[in-house]
Amino acid sequence: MTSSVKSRKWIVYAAVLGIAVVASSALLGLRAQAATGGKSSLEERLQKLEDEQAIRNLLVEYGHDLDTQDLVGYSKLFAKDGTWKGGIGSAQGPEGILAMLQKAMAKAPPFDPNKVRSFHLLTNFFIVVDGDKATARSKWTFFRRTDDNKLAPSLAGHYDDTFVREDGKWKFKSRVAPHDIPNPTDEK
Amino acid sequence: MSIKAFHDRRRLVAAVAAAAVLSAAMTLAAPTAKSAAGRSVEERIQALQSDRQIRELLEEYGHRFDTLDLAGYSHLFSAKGTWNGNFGGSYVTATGPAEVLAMMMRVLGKPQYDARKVAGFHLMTNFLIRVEGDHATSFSRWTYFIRDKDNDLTPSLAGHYEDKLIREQGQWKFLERRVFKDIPND
Repeated sequence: MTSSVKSRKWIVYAAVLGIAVVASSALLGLRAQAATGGKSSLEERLQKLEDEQAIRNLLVEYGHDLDTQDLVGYSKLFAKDGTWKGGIGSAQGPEGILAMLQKAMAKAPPFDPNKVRSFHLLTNFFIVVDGDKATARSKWTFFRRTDDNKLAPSLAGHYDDTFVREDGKWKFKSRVAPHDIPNPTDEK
Repeated sequence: MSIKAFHDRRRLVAAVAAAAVLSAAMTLAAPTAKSAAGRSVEERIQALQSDRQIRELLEEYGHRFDTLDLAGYSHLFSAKGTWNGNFGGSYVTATGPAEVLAMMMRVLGKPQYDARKVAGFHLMTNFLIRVEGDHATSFSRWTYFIRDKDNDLTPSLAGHYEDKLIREQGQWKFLERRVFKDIPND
């Protein structure tokens, strides 16, 4: 066998190896897509589940900060240009939202874990993630302690939210918090 | 077949076999590739499953309490798991399933659950769970509704739980449950 024939053989072997590597890479992609009917990769599906979980935690963290009067922590759940709109008015950005809350709660006594006056039950989460953005709706039911120290449902409503991933963390881009019951139109 | 052709074919077979092994290795290795955050796909899926299993544990606690399955309830605690809170008029710490069961029976007696005469139930909400491998912490709220003397549904008590959890033999259990009653105030 001449040396040129030998080197041609090795070119063939190298080509077979190269084709196999390219084919396996393509198969990897196909395998991930096949399981989802071609919608998204395994990584994207996992990321979406993690995002839903992070947003569910954000929804609950909001209520926790509000109920324990951690107003600074609460305001930081909003994006730089995040907005809040509800019964006590509207505001934009963590600083604006903090100022609005401090004003609204100026006369409220500080939080005392031994004298809890109220809390938010947060339920019915419906979260839709789309890349670095998301939307959600959920319900809030506000319970309070009556003057005679009894537990009473007081107000109920829902949240319409949009979210944005900012520096790797999910934040409220906009939150609208309408009252449903009692009806706003019946409020004196 | 000449000897040369035989060797050439062997080389070709060897190259194809090497390529097959390489591609199989790449295909198998892909799911355990580390993400940008440094956690493998396996670890990330485990964290999601742990979160789900802890949610179920928090709800199962309420279900077993409400249906008066006190033995089942006590087994939601780890061998060293503690229940801490006011119960039956005083602050109690019970450690391990046997003590938790004894505490429940001391306060509740040996009540029989009657599905047609439900006396009350716990609404479990506001789960805030943080998983760290085989350990986790959680905050959650409980709101207890009762059937009052007029047979009406009435919110009666509300509070929250602060928990430490542990995964033992693949099962999440309470390592420390601190029970707080928020409303009415004592």
